[in-house]
Amino acid sequence: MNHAPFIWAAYSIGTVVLVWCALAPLIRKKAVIRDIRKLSQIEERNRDSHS
Amino acid sequence: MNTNATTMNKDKPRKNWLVMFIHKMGSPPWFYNFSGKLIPWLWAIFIALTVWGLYLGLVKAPADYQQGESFRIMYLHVPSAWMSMMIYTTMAIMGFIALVWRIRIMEIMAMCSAPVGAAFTIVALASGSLWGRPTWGTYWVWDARLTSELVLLFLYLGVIGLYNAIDEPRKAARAACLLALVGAVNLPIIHYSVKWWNTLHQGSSISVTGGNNIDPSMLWPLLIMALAVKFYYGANLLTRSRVKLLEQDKRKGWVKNIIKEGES
Repeated sequence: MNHAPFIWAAYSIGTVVLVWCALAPLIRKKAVIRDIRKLSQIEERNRDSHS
Repeated sequence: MNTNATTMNKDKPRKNWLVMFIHKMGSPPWFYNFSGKLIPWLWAIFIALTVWGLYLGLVKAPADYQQGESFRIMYLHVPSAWMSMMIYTTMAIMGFIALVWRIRIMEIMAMCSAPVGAAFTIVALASGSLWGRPTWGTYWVWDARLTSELVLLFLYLGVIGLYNAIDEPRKAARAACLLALVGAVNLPIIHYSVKWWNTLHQGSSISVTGGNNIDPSMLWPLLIMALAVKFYYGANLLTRSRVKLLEQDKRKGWVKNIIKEGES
């Protein structure tokens, strides 16, 4: 039996899962920073309208 | 007396340094900055060790006399399986500390461990299945080791699901930490399953107390890969914890300052 497809498949799955697991928090971080910037802008606008 | 006094005086600054470090780690801004400096080093060590380990394992190591080339899946499967259990143990310990001492960083780190542990469990199950087909003639059997590892994946998914199901983050973390602690009962079952039951999965080839059944040319790449994935876990956990801290403290001054300064 040719073992190469099993080895390639195992390492491909491993790479995809672990790369995704490493990238997911970075993608999430971008969204969180965007949210915080929006929140700050809203707070500044409210402060300006009150003063 | 004098000797004891000298020893105590020597120990004092070391103890103070440790206590100070633990206290500082509990401060979100300090943790955020400190982990930010550590993460690139952890990734760099992980990449260097992985390249070295895979080169030795996939290129240098000879084929196994019984399993042929398929044994090379070991360099992914075994470290992933070890990590799936080690991360769960770490998560349960951090969960216990979070429940008893109510340390928020511990809650966050316990919860951020779950997705990384789940990823390693998926890799262990998938690579094991692909190793099983040429070795045993089947992708899957419901033997004790495989089934208990699958239960571990469900436990990770349960912890992630419970944490995301409750809106209040601290209440959610406490509930999920409790589930993580209860689920720790599965860990000895996974470890001893090959001894307690007659399984298709082979027994341990490596023992901490000695008596390894693997040739050094095959063992060293495995140990290097096992070390490499620990740095992956460290880097990934700290990255996730930093994002979670930003998310939870988004209305606090230190987060606004960091965003204003353009730190990423």
